[in-house]
Amino acid sequence: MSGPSKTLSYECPKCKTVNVPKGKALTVALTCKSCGVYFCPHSNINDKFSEKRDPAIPIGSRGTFEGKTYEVLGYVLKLEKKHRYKWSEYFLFSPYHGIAFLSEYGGNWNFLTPYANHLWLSDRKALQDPYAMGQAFKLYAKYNAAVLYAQGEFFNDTIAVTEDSKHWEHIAPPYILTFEQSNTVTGSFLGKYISPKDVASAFKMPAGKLPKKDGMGYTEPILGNFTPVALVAVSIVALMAAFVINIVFNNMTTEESVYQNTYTQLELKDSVKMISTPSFELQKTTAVSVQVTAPLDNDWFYAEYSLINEVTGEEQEFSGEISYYRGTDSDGSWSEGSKTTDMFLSSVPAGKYHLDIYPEFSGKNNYFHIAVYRNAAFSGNIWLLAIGLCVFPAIYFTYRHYKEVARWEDSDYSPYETDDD
Amino acid sequence: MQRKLKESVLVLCTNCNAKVFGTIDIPAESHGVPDDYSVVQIGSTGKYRDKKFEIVGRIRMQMKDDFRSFWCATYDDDKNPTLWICQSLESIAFAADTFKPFPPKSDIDLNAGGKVVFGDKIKLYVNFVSAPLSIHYEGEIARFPRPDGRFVFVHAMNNSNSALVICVNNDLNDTEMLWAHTRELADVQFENTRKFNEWPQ
Repeated sequence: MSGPSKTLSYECPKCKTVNVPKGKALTVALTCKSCGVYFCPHSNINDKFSEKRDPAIPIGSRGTFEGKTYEVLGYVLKLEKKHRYKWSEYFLFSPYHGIAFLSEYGGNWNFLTPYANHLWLSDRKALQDPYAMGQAFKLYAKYNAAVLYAQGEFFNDTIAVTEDSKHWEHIAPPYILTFEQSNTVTGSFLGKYISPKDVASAFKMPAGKLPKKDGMGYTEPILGNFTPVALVAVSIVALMAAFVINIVFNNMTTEESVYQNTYTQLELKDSVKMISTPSFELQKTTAVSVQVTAPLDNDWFYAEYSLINEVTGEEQEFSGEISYYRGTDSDGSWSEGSKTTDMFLSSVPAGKYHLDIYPEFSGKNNYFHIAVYRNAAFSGNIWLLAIGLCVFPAIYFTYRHYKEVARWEDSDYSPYETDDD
Repeated sequence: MQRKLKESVLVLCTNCNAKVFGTIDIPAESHGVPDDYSVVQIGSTGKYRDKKFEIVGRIRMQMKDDFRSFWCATYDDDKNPTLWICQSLESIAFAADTFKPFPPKSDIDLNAGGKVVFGDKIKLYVNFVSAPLSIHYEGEIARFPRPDGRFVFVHAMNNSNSALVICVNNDLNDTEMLWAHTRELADVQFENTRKFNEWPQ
């Protein structure tokens, strides 16, 4: 319910083409649709560019971020003056959601919106480590910039604002807080890392049309962003839980013997050197334990085994050696090894089986006892899990340190020592 | 057309932008506001500090690099019946108050990042300073320091989200200010807003 509005149009100062700005009265600077010259109707500024680059996301494209649809109104290619790196910024607008920016460097993207609720300044300098959103942000970059190329429309004189301002970037991955200050304005934006895949999805365009990702983005989250305390705590709790579960399951399962017998070396025939057990039945898929015992005394026993399903012919092969030695020395008597061993087969399907045994005797001992059990409880996995849970945090923090060093590689404010230091 | 603001100084017709009432004179080119995709419009309603308000008018200042809108709203408050809403694309600030003279023994550094100091204690930082290139009006307007736009607009903040909008004249003794409270744009809800069919929400 407002009075009649005025339609704006701006004549290009160079080619005189009349441009009707998409952003209406919000548009303060634009490039001519015919000749590409950059001009500001309110201040008679115009500029040409030394470089031309077509934006990967065309002007006029619409993309949806967190359910909010924006249109790309402008594109700027910027240059950091000290280290001479270039990055792209896409200026986005929605009447309902305001302005936003997509910045892209090395194929890594951040989506930024205005952040008015944070006071940055202390004696005309940006705070070193500002606190926002419940966390401290670390200074990543402080720079002056130049605009190499612009296309489309802007709601400020993007060249002047970029080139007359000092810029600060603070990060708390995946978040970024930017701050810029000129003589007339200070501005702050809060952003978040967005993957190339999500950018492509937002604009419904093939990911291949976007710049190829080159290295780690400086706000890119690290897989599984655990704190050291949390990870150690979770590992300890998981380990305790695993032990408890293992104890409970061991108590719940009752091993049942399905076959046992004693064999002597005499039962080996010259040609085959193999013993076949009679058939035995496993009525359901189960863990199977094969226990072998031999009356060893400073001796060893070795055998290879093949558990054969008599219906399907499938074989599971395994082997095991037992040895037992004893003696006396200056420290007294000693012994090592064992006269028995357990071999564990997990998830053996139901069926009719027999074992083929290929034993090797040392010559001293000449018999062994074998017993096959179903519903076997095996504690070996719990120890593997325990080792894994202890090793994982160490591997994870090494990986994370490496990634953090990579994140800060291009920063003058890296908390990590570099080769240049 | 019935006036809604107690301290109304200008009323422009909401259909044709003709002057209906006014104790101030503004040039013809200032009648009516250029379309700037504002979803807030005359007749929009909302709540500030649990009290209802209704937008009745707008002052739009076009700066070289930006703009500011001062929305005038009737406010459900006996003490401060006028609510000023200072809006840009990056921030919004509410002031249930009237413009008051800039106090003596105070100072302003007219640079972004500079201080606004009241005595020894109150200190704010300037985050925007610019002179309007043009000024436009629509609807009903409450008393405003310099309707001709011949001032420097200053927006300053402190870390408790208090904001100060100041219309600075050449002489600080002829400068007026408005205390406001800054809020995140996303936290502010208006009703009876303008819809744009060509834009999906």
